[in-house]
Amino acid sequence: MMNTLRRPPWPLALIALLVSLLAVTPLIYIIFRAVSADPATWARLWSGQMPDLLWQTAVLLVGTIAFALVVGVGMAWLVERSDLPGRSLWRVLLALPLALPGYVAAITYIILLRRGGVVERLLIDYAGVARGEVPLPSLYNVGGAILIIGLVTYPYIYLPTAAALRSVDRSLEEAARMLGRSGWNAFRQITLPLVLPAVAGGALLVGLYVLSDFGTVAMLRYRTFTTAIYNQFTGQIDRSGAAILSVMLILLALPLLFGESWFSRRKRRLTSDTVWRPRQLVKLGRWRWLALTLTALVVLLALGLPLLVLGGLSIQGWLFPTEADRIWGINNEGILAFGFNSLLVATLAATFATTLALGPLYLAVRFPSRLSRIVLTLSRSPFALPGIIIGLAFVLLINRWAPFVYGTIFALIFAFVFRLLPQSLSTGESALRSVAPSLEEAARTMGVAPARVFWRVTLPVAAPGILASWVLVFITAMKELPTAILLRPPGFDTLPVRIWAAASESVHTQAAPPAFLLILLTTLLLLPLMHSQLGIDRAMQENL
Amino acid sequence: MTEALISVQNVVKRYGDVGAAVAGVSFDVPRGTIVALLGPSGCGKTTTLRLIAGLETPNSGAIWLEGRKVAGDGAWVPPEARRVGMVFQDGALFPHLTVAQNIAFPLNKRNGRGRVEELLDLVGMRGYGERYPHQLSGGQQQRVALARALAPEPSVVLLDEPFSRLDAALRVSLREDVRAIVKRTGATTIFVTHDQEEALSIADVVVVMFDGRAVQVGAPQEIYTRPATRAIATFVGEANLLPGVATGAVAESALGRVILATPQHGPVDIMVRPEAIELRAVREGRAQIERIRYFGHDQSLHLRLHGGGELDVRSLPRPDLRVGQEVDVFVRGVVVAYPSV
Repeated sequence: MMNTLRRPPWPLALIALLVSLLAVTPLIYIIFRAVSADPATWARLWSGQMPDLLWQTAVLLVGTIAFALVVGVGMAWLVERSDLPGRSLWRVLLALPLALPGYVAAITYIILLRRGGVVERLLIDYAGVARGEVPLPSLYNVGGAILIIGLVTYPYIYLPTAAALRSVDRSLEEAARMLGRSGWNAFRQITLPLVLPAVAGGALLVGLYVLSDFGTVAMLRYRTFTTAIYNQFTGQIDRSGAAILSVMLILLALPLLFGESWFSRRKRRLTSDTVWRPRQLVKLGRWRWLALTLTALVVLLALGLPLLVLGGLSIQGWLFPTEADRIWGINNEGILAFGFNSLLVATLAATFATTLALGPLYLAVRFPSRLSRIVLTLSRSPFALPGIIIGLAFVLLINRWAPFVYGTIFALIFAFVFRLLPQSLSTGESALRSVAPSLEEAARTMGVAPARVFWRVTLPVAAPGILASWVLVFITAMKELPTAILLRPPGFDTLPVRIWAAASESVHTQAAPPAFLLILLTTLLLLPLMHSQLGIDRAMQENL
Repeated sequence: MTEALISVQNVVKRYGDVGAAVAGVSFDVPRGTIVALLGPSGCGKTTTLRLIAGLETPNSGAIWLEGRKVAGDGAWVPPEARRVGMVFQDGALFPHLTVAQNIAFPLNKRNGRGRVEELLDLVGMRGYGERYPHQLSGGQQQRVALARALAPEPSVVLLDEPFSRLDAALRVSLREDVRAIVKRTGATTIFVTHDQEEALSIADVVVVMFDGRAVQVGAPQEIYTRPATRAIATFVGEANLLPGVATGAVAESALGRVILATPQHGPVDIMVRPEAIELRAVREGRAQIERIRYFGHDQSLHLRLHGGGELDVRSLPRPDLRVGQEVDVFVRGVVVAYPSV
């Protein structure tokens, strides 16, 4: 009913305030750079690339959301509400592409469909098509980008929709039936409105992914804001221009951000957690096999092919190394070194981010006030920033204020921590909220001082949730590409950087071993979370 | 104030500007007694308990524990320094610790082991030390919570609706056990409840709270038989309120002449408990039986008075009392009267 003593201890308030002020620095700096830019730069960008960029981004955004909606909602319904064979297996497999970065999927399909690639060879050898006349679809257009980003983002819609379909109380639908609605009408009037916020929230997350994605569109040579910012910064060394484009991108992302948080609040209000019973499944009849084929196709395209192609190439390169393999040094110790670098950066960054997030979170959960709300919102603000902008902001900030840090591993980890902080905040919140205030109060009445209570009661009780949150943040860190490209120390390659380098040199097969190792690690880490108490459905929502 | 172990003086607690949850509560608790804070939900009884524990700070007023001022007029002792044990509504057992570790939580490492066994014995949970809270039933969890609260030998134990989550049969047996246990330890105990039967059956003193105020403080018998207001009368049990005219020690009403507990004059409402009425079946009496609800061990009768009004009566099941039967009505003992408004 009530809370503990209202006034937060000052060390806690101070820590939380410091974290939030640090977190908001990159955003403020980028805006400052954009506003203070030469008006001529603004004019040049407006009349030059801006209209084209807006159109390109909009088409990709709408197309990807539509594709992900069809796949995500369709699969969720099949798995939760129909008698699809093997539902419990599909339920897990369909969620796993979440661990797959878009650029890895892009690499896979580039390898498959390029001239001289696997598909062409198969067609020549077995279908008798003449060399040079093989009809290969091009991936370097908006269709390719939509398909590939859609394949890795549909879980953002699939997971919350499936969770909502599962949690809508069966008695609600039964009550509607008893009140004289037909089965379809009950679904339309009761279930659909209850599930819709989850679907819409997921769709907006897909939109945010599209806006912030850098690796996939860069590899598919599709121009969006993120690639334009990168080119502006690295190619033309136009920092003001890059800042202006960044601000435009942030403005585009804001409505999606607010929409998402609005829907997630609605979702909490609508679904009830009363007694749950397994529900009647829709009999698919003769559509059953078509449904099974479609489901298998989705899993094959989004998960199976990347694992097969990348795994196959990795093993091939390991067993029969070619000249290129030797030059790239990817086979033996090399790949392990990159893997180690990735693990090191991700472990440190995820740990720091999780720890830092505890300050603002504890303040917000236990001492709700206007101050704590502001602190939490400020700490979350890097969420509005795609990785490329965070990387850019840190490069600029470091060069200006601390040039001696530039190109060190500290700068890289520092930037990673800020990239991950918003995610730590949202996944860690449920962990802290799961600790009943009465537990802490009980400890206080037993003669334990507040700081020791946090250490002896709050932290141990919240530990499983915090661990799950750490793993999710760690996975994001493992996948992070743009921040790493901009801030890595010379010669310090992580797995994503290595994939990126191979792709930019157009030696895509050389990207296979690091990509395979990367998705192997992330997928294996994601698997145990599927059944964790935190609930992957909720936690993954911030896993951009 | 010297002999009172706990003293609450004019304590006020407001949340924001939505009125006061506790609006000036005062009462004293002598050493070794069991006190019930009884009231409907939202009356501020839990807040009062949390103020005593130190989990809330009062806006005004003062609280003394063992002659030491712990809150009010600038004084403030945090909960961890008050030597007060508390049992929460949900038990608040630490889920990551075993039963034994939970009980040992407030203890020093050195003398912990023997004390834990002793406490497990005390609450009848010997052999459960290695279990985790989620492996216990609700009643067992509350026993462990009590043991944990008693572990550091606090002079005061506070219980916040400790039985409200248990089913009826378990609740009765557990509250008897809890009374015996705290009596044995000699701890002064305050517990919060909205169940009047619970308050009356285990407390030495009952504090009735309405709307953030303590409206009556007294022994259970006094609260039940001499409630200070109509509202208290109907809250702590079933009550018949009938109009009458008082002339000194007696009053005339539809039940005939009744003897008043305190002399009064003029129009009054007299309060008669259903079980304080005796019935005799007659050919033509003061009332007629309209309805009978049979409970097995006793029955509840609804009567229409020929002098106007209705009357609820409790009686043992009797073959002569049937629906439609005319009865004469006698009131046992004295009755309480409230001036009519």
